[in-house]
Amino acid sequence: MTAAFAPRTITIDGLGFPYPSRAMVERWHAGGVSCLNTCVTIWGNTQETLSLVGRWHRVAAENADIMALATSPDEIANIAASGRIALVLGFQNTSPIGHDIELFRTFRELGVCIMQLTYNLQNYIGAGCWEEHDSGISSRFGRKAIAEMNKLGILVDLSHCGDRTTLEAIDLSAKPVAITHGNPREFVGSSGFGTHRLRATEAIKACAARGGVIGLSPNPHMMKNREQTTVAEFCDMVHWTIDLVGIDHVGIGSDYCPGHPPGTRRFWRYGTWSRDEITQVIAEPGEAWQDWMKTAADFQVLRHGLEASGLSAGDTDQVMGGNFLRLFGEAFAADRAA
Amino acid sequence: MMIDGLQCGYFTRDVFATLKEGGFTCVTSTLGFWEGSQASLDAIGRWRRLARANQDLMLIARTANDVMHAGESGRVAILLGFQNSTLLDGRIDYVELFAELGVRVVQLTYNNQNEAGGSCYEEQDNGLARFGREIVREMNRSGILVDLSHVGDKTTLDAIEWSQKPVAISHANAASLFPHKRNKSDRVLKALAERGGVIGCATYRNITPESACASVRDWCEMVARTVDIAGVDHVAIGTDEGHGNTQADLDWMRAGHWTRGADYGAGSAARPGKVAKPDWLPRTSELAKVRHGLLEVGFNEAERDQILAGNWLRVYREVFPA
Repeated sequence: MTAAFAPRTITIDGLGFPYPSRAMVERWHAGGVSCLNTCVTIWGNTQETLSLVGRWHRVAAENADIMALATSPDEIANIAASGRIALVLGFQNTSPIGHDIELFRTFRELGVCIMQLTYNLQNYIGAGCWEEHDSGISSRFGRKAIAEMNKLGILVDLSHCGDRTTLEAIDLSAKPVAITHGNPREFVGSSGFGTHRLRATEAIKACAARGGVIGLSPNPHMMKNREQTTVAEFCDMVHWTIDLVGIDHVGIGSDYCPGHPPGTRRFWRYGTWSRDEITQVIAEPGEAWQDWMKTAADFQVLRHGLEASGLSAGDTDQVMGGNFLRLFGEAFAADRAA
Repeated sequence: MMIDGLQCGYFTRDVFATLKEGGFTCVTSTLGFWEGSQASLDAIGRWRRLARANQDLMLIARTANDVMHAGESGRVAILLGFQNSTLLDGRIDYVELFAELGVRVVQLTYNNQNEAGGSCYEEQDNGLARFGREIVREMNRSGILVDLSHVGDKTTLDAIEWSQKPVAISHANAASLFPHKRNKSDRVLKALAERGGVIGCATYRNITPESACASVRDWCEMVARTVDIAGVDHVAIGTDEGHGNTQADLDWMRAGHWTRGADYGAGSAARPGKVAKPDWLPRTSELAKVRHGLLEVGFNEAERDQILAGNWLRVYREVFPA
């Protein structure tokens, strides 16, 4: 077994979306990432998503020398200790569930441990950050969905949700939730993905107050200075967020999504729901990331940056993975009755 | 002529014969409540087989002229309708595809919130969502009638406003005459009428005043009071009659796959199961009684004919492909 980088401690990427292949996962592995919330789908329906989950199981099995699927902190730690990367399967939407309450268990049994409730738009559960109106969590399916996720051990992700849906979900969830990849609106200002894609201070505070974690992203489209953003600026954002909610609630979620065929990014944004151009969103951002983080292989630049910024080694470890690992332990555990 | 804006259940040869006997010119059927695109295609396939096997009694209508033609040839015109927009699976392109397959009526939401908007049983409804705006305009373009019967209040108002063609509340009553979450406020009915839409008055007992279930005259009185609110050009019939639905069908309509618990839909814990048909309407064919009933409560023949068919037909002409 080869380890490109033997992690000193657990490093967790709160959200990435590699095309399902060895070549793409290798980038995170080379970057010393011990665990990745691996996005399986954004708009996929049940059938399409079953196919994608199946593909990830195959990719993991065929490349067991560098990766393995994980559904618990123990598995993550064991896989990391063997020099491999632990892939936790996650969805960026509940489109695979449709409105079938039983499908949460089905997908959880297939290893899907993280689900973002909505992706930019409204669905049966709540509203996304690109909706003009946000009615909050649906009093019917939405509440049942959150209770079911809590019960089965599926982490609720609120990164792309609308402001009201985000707050209501935090309030309704019996377990801590995550903003796996989202930057503070108050710190960043505006973003290439629209102001509302950035997370409100109130939501970040509420998420932390209930034991959740917010994954900060170096994604240039969520930083004020885009690809001119420096490591120091990113670290300033980490410090700003720690000052806001404390060291226990800040992590990293790169939002790095490599290897997908041309047109895929457009599809993520426009989906199948519109023929119009979406004006508030940059066209095809591609992978024009900052020089210091061209790919996930540069992940440890963040660790070095944080240490250089004056964050203690222990605090740096928490931000780089410890906090997400703690959250995964709490959120992936099924209730005894389930 | 007599047009019913909504029925559901199992359409068999016997049902077509009953509809013909009752003098129905046109009925909108329900092909789905929660189904996605694949199951919805199955339902359209079943209807095509039904149409081939019963072409002496009925036809699937795609245009207002088809409806007229069915009437002239003594057959019942069936409009293919869905009570939810789930058939689209979130895909804007499917609106046109389903329109080309003959789908003519799609309700935006059914009981619960979805990608298009809020629904009548949700605690919160902040209006037509982005996908809702997309599909309303696409339905306008493709010739599908937007149905708002089970839709939430705010989403209903938004859709009435946003739609470039008249929309329908195919099966509901006025909430001011019978307060119920499924029924529509005077504000909604007036907005609907202002934009040329039509409400089909229902005979479904859970959402219909007791008196209107007791006698045909009282049901026609209810229609007259609805006309007082929306105007005679905007009131029609949408019974919500079900053919042969079993408890299992009722469970699917109400609970779908979204809940394991009890959901009573338009019913209640006190009235959980199937409800009796109105006393005056034990068989669907007896809806013909309203022909006389509407005259009895003061409508003239021209107005009566508008309520029976003319108003629906006008909307169909404005909305469906020529």
